[in-house]
Amino acid sequence: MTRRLLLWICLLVLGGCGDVPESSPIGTFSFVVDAQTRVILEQLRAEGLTPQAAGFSRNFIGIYVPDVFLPYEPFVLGLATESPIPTVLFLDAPWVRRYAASNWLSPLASTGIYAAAGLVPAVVQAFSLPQKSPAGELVNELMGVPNAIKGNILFYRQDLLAAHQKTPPGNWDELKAICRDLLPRERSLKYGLIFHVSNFLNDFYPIFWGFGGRTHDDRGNFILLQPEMLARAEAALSEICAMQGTIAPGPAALPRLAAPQSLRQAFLRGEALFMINWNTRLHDLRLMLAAPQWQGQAAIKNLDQIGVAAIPSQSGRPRKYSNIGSFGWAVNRFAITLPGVKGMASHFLNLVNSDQVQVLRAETAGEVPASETALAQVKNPDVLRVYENIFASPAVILQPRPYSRKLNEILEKHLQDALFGRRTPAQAIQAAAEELKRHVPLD
Amino acid sequence: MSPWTDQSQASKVGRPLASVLQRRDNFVFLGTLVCSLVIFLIFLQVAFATIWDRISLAVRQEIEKEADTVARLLVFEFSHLSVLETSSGADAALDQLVKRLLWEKVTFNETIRGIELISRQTDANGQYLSYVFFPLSYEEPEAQRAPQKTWRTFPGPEGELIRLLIREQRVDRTLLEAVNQGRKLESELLLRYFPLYIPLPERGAVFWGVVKVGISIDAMRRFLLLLEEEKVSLRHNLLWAMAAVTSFALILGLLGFRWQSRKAGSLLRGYTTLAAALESRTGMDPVTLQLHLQQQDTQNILELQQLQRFGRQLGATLQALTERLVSTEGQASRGRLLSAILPRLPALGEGRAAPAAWADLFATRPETWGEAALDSHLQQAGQLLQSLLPDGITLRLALQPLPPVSGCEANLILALLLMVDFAVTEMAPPGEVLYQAETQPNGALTVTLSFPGRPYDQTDLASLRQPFQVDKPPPGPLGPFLLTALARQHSGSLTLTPQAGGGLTMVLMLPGKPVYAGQG
Repeated sequence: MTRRLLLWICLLVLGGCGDVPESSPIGTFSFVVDAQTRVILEQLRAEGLTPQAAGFSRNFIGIYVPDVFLPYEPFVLGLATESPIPTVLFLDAPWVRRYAASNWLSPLASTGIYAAAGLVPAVVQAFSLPQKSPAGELVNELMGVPNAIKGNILFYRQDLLAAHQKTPPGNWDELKAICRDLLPRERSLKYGLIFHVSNFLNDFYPIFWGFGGRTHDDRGNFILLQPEMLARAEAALSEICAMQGTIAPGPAALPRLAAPQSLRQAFLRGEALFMINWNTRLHDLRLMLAAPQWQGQAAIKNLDQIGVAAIPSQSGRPRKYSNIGSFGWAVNRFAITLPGVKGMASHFLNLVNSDQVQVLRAETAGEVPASETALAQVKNPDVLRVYENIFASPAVILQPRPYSRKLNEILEKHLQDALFGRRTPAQAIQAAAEELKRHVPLD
Repeated sequence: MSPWTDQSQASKVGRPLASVLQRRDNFVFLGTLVCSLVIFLIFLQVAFATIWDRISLAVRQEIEKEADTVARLLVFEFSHLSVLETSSGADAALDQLVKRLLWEKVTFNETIRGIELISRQTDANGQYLSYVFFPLSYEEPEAQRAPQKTWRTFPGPEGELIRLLIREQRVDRTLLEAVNQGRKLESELLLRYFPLYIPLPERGAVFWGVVKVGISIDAMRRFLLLLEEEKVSLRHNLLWAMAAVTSFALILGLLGFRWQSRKAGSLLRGYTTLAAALESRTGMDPVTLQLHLQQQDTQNILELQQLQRFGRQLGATLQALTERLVSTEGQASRGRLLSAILPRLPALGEGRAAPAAWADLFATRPETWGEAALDSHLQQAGQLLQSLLPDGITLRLALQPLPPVSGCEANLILALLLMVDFAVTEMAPPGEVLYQAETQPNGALTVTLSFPGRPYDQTDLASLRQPFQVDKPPPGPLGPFLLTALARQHSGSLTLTPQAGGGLTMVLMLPGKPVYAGQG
């Protein structure tokens, strides 16, 4: 008995007495509160998905970013100087690429913060980047997690194509052929194809990629200035410019389509057979149809008249592309200083990116969920149509535009020159190349 | 070696139990003290090594964090210099502005030891445009003690780090460690490198180049030095404290153990007294021995109780053996006397009644206690002695009438026979045998039998009194030994006195008053 008692005393002394003290709370877990995040958080609060009892406000500190600061990319300075704040950022897809390339972001899947398994394959591909593994090899790592898929697609008049026994075009030759056939017969149509005039670059990239063009290789090296790539860019731009005046709006008509919402309004009025726009516009079109000012004004009465397809590619190239515009949650690598931070980041990401949120957004805002489990619960037919017709296809590749502002600025400027007839496509691409050469390496 | 002749074993003198235990405990004390201090020293070494590493790491991390913060703040401040990105290459006003900023920030604080702004732009020779202010020494030429705008190349790990930073806008930690660990032109500084972005509303954050900041590590060095001094001091103090506490605890334990061992020794001291009494000239009869053993204090200690029980059983066994020895030796003595007298009976034929007169001595009697009249037995013993005297020895009888004696008659007759037997065995002619019985003035009765013979020294007498010695051969005649025992049984004594010309005088003294020893 005495020996047993002594043994217990020894065990207590060696093992320590009393309860294990609580681990120290993580100093700061912060996330960026911008317009996008605010919408999601408000939705979460409205649906009771962030109960106060769970201590959301106490555990997660939102860093408000005044809208006027956003053009300065304020978090670049923080990340570039290895600041641990904020822990989580909500980044446009191109910026996920940029920050990941600078080694500022933490991988999500391999660190256990967020499992890539539940995401749509196209999303995983779009938000994955080659990172050095501990063994020194380059492996694709998930660096950001979006709530929804936003990409530009081809809208078309389903009713007209069906009436003329046409199927959606798979390449530009087919699109032109349909337009040439239908435009003379359908007098209400003013254009075969309309696209964004301002920020044309967003629409141009998937066209360029569909011609086999690339701005960067797999390792992130800038290759646009290679003659082969410049030729593909010229071919893509020539394809669009060649349609201007007959199928697409000519330089004189372009300003009419430059105003905000002018593209979707023209499409709703029945002026265009095809339109390149963001997939989220399908939901906007539904809202417009329900609006009183459009009652009796729209050529399109219901969404069944609208079809969706991937943006055509060059003939002979089966792969089609979409310029992803989704925002994704990413984790600041320098914030991972304590073991608990990963757990908190995982908790936060699973909360703001939960299936409930994605399904809610799909049903109310027409967003296409990024996770397969959420997609399985969605009932919104518009969302399912967009996903099944486009993003579920293995032939469609989602990829973000290059993150270099300088590149985008220069290209946009010279593309506009070509669209407005100030230069031929060849001249425009050549001029862009000359200017880009002066700025290499690009930001 | 025979056990009877092993003198060395007998000559060894044992030490008291308390002394032995105390001595052993002293060794345990010293051993425990030394072992405790050695173990504590090892523990201290390991603990301090761990603590030292952790504190050093913590201090380094804090200093590095502070360096990061300082460098970051500088980067934020320089990022407001949008003119760096927007103005043309040669702008004297811009150069002055940047130089002034560098001078102010390096001069008016104690942490920042130098700043360098390295543009991403290079000249035809691959040199980077740099605004630098690292005041290394006040002994340098005045021109070099001001901020400089130069075109520089960066060799070694630093150059590699800067090229990587400009190419990928990321800080490679391994290269940064290499730069900070190697020898630096800027002396002992902690260097930090960060990409410098110039945020422009229409272009976003535009990468401009690299900011290099030198942070003083004097605070860390001072702290580590202080820590080292404190470590040595603390180690000495702890060691002394440990030694003092251990010694105090062990001394207390030693004192306690000393008290315990003395107490344990005192419990056994009664046995020592008993042993001394047994070894004394008077010895101790088995009954008294039993009584003493029973009175030993065992304090409810199992082992002492077992020892007491063993002693009592041994005492009882000894008593039984003694009685058996007395009885057996008595018989043997009678046998010897009869075997000696019987051949002489025909020569003594003139008086047939004579043999019958001393034959009463050999009659079997019950061992009962009471009043015993010895006169007739003394007469018979005198006659028996007379019959057994060899030639050349005469007998002088001086037997006075004696009052009755309290005791066991059978044993007293045996005592008379043993005296005669021993005298007949030991006597040698010529000479006179005195056989005397008388009453002493104090009331005691004495029976004296002196006979001529060989000379006796004290060793002989001791051997006669105590014939059973572990280191000596088995004894010869047991008469005196048994006589002593019988005398003690009757609270009397036996005195052996050598005679001057040889021979021995035996005096059996019996008390006059009836004193019972408790025969059961």
